[in-house]
Amino acid sequence: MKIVILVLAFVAVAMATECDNLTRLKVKSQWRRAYSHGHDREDFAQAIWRAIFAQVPDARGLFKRVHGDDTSSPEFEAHALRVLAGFDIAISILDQPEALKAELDHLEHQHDNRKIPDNYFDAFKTALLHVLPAQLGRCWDRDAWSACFDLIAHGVKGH
Amino acid sequence: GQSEHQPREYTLTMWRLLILSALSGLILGDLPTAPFLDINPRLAANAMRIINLHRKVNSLKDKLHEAEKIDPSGFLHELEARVDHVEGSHCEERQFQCGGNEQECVSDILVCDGHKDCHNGHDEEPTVCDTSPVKAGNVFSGTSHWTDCRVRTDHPSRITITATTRRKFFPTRIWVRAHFESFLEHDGKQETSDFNARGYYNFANRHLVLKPDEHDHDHDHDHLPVVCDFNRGDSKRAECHRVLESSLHECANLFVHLEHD
Repeated sequence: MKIVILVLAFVAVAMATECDNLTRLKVKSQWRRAYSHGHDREDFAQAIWRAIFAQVPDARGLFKRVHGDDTSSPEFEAHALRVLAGFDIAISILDQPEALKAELDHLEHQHDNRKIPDNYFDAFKTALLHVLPAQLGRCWDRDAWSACFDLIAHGVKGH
Repeated sequence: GQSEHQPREYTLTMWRLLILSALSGLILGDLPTAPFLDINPRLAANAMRIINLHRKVNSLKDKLHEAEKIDPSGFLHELEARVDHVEGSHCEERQFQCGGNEQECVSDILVCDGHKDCHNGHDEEPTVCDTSPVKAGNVFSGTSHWTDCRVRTDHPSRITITATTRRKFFPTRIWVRAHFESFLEHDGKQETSDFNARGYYNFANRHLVLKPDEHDHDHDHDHLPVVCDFNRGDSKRAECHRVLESSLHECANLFVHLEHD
């Protein structure tokens, strides 16, 4: 019985997607498609933030300075686009480890002192993993995204 | 049953009495020497009128039943949906047109999410956010006609919606699970080719996407995804296609309708 469980565990580990080189390229190209441009990009950002605040309403408190109480306000729109722009940088250099390290360190520095609970990052991930397939429609790899998001979030959290 | 029948029988007896008295009134009305049949002729005439009215009401009932079979508003909806489709919208792909005279476009990932994004609020209207096309238990059937990708003669197919999820924090899509069956004839024998599918329903374009479930243990790569458009102005009929997932190239078309209400 123990052996069976061990074998199953091995299979599970072997099947779990890692954010390896090929996976990073996949995530990069899928992001390019989803991130889009112009008005659609604003709506994409809007959808992500609505989904985050719907899960963790208290998180709005962190965004008082940028009018987090109204996600449609120009101030918050600007902020949402800025966040996605940072995320865009991180994703587009997923295949350049040194540049990625520098960007993640920069983002970590921007986020420390803000006392962001880990579950807010989880809410961001859940929001992204729902809005992305809706935006892409098809040809998207949830496991690839999950793995590479964790890598980026880990870098921003610093732990 | 009993309590329903009693008033009816009662009215029938009433009618019979009325008819009898009316007839006797007609026959014997001019005989002043019949004391036990002393019926007021005006009452008798009224009875005749009532009988006539009763007949007319019955024929009206029949006409009402006939009228139910043709639904003018359904016709108009269908015509409107078809004209809208031909007219097209100036919105880009993955955008929803707010309708009305303003012709505003918003991204389809904001439609039916609880926030009014169109200035006229059309993106949150009950008619747009109707979930009835993808109720769990809905069974749609139709004939698949292959034009490419597979060599198959026309055969019946069936889509059964098995489960749906709508996340509270992202209500703009309904995540759908379904079972797709095709009834094929192979060397004179009946064969069923079926697979479990996963996908989503998009309110903005009334579009349903179902692709073979890769997590399914007997997943077979031979199955093609099916995409449906509820574009006939109701939730009972859809125009579907079997497509190649990578390119959306159309391989077969099938027009499906809801099997029961």
